[in-house]
Amino acid sequence: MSQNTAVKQEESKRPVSRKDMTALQWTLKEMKRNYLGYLFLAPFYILFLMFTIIPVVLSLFICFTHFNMLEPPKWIFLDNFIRLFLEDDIFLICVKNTLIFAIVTGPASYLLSFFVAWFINELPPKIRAVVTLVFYAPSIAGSVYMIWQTLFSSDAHGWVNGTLIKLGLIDTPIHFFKDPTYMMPLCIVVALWCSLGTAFLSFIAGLQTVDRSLYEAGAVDGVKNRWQELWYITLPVMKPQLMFGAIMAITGSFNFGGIVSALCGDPSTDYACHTITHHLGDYGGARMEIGYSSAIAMILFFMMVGANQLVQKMLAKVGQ
Amino acid sequence: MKNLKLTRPIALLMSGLMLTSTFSVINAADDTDETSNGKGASIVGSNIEDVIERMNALTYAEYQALYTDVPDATSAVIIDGTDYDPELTDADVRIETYEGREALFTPDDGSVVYSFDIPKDGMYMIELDYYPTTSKQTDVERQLYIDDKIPFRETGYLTLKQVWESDLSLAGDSKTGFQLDALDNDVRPNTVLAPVWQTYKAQDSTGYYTDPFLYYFSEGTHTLKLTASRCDIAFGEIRIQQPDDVKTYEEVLADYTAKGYKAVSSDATVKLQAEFPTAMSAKSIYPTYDKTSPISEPQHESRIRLNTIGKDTTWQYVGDWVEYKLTVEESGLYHIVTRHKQSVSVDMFVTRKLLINGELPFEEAKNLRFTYGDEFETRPLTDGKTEFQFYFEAGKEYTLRFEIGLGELADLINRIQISMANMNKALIKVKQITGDTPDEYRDYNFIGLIPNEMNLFLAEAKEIRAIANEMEEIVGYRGSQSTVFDDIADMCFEMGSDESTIAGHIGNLTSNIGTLGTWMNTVIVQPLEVDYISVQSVDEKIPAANANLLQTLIYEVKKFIASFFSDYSTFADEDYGDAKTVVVWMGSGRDQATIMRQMVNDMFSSQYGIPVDLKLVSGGALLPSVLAGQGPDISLDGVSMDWAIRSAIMKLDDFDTFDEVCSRFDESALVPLYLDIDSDKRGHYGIPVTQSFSVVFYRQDIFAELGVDLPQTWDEIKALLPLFNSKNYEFGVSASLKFHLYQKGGDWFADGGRRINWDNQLVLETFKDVCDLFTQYQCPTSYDGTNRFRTGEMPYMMSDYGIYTQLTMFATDIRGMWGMSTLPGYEITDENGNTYINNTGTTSSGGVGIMANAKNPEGAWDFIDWYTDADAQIRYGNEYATLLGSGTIYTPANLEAMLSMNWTNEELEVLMAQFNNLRATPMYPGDYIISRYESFAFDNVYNEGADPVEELLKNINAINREISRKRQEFGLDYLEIGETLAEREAKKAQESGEAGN
Repeated sequence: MSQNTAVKQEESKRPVSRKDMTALQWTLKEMKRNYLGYLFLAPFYILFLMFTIIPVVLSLFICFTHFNMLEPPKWIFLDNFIRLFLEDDIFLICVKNTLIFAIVTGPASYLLSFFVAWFINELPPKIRAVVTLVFYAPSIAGSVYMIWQTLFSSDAHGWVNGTLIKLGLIDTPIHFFKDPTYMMPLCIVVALWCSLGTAFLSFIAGLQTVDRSLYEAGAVDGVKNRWQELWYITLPVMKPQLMFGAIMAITGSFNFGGIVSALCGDPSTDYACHTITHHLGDYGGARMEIGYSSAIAMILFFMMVGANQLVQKMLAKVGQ
Repeated sequence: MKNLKLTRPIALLMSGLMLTSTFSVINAADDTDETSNGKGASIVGSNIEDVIERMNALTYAEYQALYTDVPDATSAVIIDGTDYDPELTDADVRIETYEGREALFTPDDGSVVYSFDIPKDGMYMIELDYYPTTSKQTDVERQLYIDDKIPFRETGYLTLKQVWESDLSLAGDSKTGFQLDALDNDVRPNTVLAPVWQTYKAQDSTGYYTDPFLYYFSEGTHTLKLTASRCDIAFGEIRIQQPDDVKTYEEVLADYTAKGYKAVSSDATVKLQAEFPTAMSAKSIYPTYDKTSPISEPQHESRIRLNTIGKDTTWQYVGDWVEYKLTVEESGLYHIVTRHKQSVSVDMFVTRKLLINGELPFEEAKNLRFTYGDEFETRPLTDGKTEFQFYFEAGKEYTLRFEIGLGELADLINRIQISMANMNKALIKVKQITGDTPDEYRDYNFIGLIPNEMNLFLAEAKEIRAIANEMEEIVGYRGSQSTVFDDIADMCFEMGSDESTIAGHIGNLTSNIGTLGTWMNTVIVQPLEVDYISVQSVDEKIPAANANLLQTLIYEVKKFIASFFSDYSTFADEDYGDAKTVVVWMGSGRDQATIMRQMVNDMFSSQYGIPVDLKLVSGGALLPSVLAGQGPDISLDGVSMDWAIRSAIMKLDDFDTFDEVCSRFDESALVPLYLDIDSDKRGHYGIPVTQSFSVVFYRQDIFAELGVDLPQTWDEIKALLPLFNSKNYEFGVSASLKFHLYQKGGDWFADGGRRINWDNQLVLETFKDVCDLFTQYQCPTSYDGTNRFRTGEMPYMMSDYGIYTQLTMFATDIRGMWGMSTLPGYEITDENGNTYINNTGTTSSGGVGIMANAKNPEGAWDFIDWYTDADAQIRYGNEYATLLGSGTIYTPANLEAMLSMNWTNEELEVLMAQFNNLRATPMYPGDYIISRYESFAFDNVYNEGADPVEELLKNINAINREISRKRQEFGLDYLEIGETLAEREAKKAQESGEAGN
């Protein structure tokens, strides 16, 4: 008996090890030990939970219902998705448009941001600051893309129309933002013009964090030219920034809706520039079908996740 | 064309009938009824001669130049107002007694004529006594004809001001002199009409000429005709007399010295608080409060004290005045010192004219200057050079009237105006040759075609330079406008001297003239905020204008401390015991909320005994709060039928007074707020508050120049378009298919909203007509209408009637040259073979409804009942215009409220005619989808030249599918695609028949 107790005492004296506990107990114990860290994280996590996690989970639930915001949702299981894929031909146009936008503007704006950042980085600091501002300005100044509306106005007095009429190339004004022939290319151009945003800034920051000594070491180890320097040193060092920039570019190119609505109107003529974001807004707003629009959002969400995976895989190859 | 003659009387008869049918609602329409029957035909198209005569009339400057060698008159002819010429007078006049004086009452239309003998050739001034009888809230307007002719253009718009005062009856013996609210804030008193006899000298209402008009009369018998264009008024004595002999200040001063007047002692000072004028000339002038300066009198660190007059832009239009009564205790020489601030008109001075007992004390008193500055200023009245002294006699009552004039700028502004008009005219000529987008490199042969205009450009270049120099001299420095002057002068010079530069400069010159016009608009408004007027000895020190550091410090600290204890909410409510509160939300802005709060306190809560919790919320707040069950009873930001069909808004049909409330509106206003579906949800969900519709605005001068009548039908428009296009004039017309379809008598929906009615011949034809207007006839699809209308590029434009005020206020350069008319229509032959013009317009209305989960629906209904009634709507409209400036207009749906606004009779006729001819579409589920497919179809036709019929047909299924889907969602009866109700019924009958067999 006493021996037994002794053994037990012996055991309890032993330091507690991971094996003695369930995962939950272990977690709780560790959390208790590090409570200060959690306390500091708490404000952010509470907000993140309330405003990001919960809505996303809710939307996952809502996309299986019929919900109009004002009356309680009705569970309809997969009807929304069936309708989306089998009946909604506008959705297919949207997918097509979204992919065109994403494939053209995503990589293009990403590369553009990077190369502009790279070139600017070579400039002397004072000039660099000014040039950075010049390139960054379009994306700071909110709806500055409205200038394109003025340029390509359908009025006979609009800049482009006026000039074309003056040159005798046309005799009635062209409705640039109402004519499917011009809408898509114009929107892509405007998107690229506005795209030197956050990603561009982070690239500039990233380029400046590269340690000079690495280049010297590289030179000793046989780096022959600037391209090799870029590929083997600069890019691997700034991978975090590249990742960040890529995510911004992806979300940006998939969410490319505001500019199109402002320029071409919502919906655009013949849905020629209707993207998934527009479709989502159309059902969520005018038609008050939140369930259906959540289903669309889900699709968009998975498309973005997929694109993200792809880009991560590609970025892993950088410097190899 | 020949049908016009027939249709006009019919239309008139109809409008007359409509008017009488609304009689029970509209008391004010009393006398408009008859006039619309009697005069209607003259509005449209037929008065070209009038227009031409008016346009060809001389300007006053030209008129003066004609009679430079005619001496001023030396005697006067006095006509008693009641002594009119009964044969020539066509107005319904009568003799009445006002304040013991006999006078001739003249209504708001028709003319009154006086005949008289002039003893000797000469230049005469016309002065008259009037009594403002009208209850309308606007200035009285009369046109003056001599011997049945308008002697010069400016005399066609004589403006006679009404007299207003602050209604202080609610103030009681409050310590501030104003009524105090529950939180001890001053409440702005109502401004009410306070008519008294006034004396008026015929003068320019725009202030471009600072002296009264001088008319030339030859010896012999003449007639004087006064034609009403706005409001009724009573005339007392009319004096045709010698011009005033106003002395210069130098002469007056010499006179003072000769008489041995001395400065008074320092304790003779009389201080007049500017916020208590004895009378003012417009409703928009009212006591305001300044919180910026600690020494404004009176001032309080946390409460609102009304302490100034004319803050911001409340006292700024030429001709408006405020009056103070002054009695001094010591005879002698005084300074009149004002504490004032003019912080609106940047880098310019504003001008006031001082009239003592109705007369200018000396010539310079019409050029009193108040310079620009961020802070208050104290200064004796001055013209910028001399500080004036005034002699006042002890015990005598003086009336000081400060009237807005343009002073020394008047002449320059007038010259700029003339110059702009000349350049615009010349530009229109040039543009007729070159078109909208001139080719710089083409030889247009301007010298051969328009030599006069080229000379004119040269002359204007010189004139503009001269004006710029004089302006600089008067203002004292080169202001922001001088570059515009220089640019215009340079361009005009080049254009006049080298014809090859004309084409290249047109665009630039047009935009520069536009800039100049905008600048002029800011110069002719003359805002001034006054705190007090101190009448004090010429030896007395001028009071400090601004607080010193210590005073400011104490004030700010007090303000800071008070901020912990004070309730600053100006929307605080009075106490109404246990009555159930109505919660009202509005998102339209703090100023509107202030108006609303005051109206609710004055008119609603006190009368119905229902407290109102008025909250100012941001636009997106409503949906989430309704979702969370925290919503208001009423939201004033409109009702959405999408909400109604989803049971978030209450159906209103069951309230007792529903029918009575609805009778206040035209039926078309109720339609957009009506849910027309086949279920128990069918009904009205909102009561209209605002309603808008379009009318036609047209440039009389251009139609007169081309010698064409105003088109009444689309066929006439199409016939005119080639002519207009060849002169580079444009028509601004509507591209709405629904609008054109309604005019052809078609329907938008079929089968009770179950499908769109596009698949029939009438619609397809109509759509083709609409497309033709823009493709074949090249009407512009997008444009800045107001601007092009002003420049004359677009002499005909369909637009919301709300821009009327904008045109009257800001397009002063084309005043009297444009008109308003009913919409054009299609000629329709009805089943009896009569043809008439169907000029139906489309309309939309915004309303107010009750939330489905309102906690106090009865109280909310009372609120709506009160809010949509004429009294509240009239007051809201007036305060709204006062607040946002006279250029804005509130477009109430309430008929009586709309009619009571400041319309002239002619305008009223047009509006009534259109108002009675409106059609709206009820709300059906899924209707939002239509507009997009309509614009797709139109865009494809316009862009690619596609076939209109095909484009329209192509989209029918997509629309019907959406409609059916939505109806299905709401559990309503719906049609399969491609099926009509009749077909389905037939099929059903057949099936049941077969089953029966």
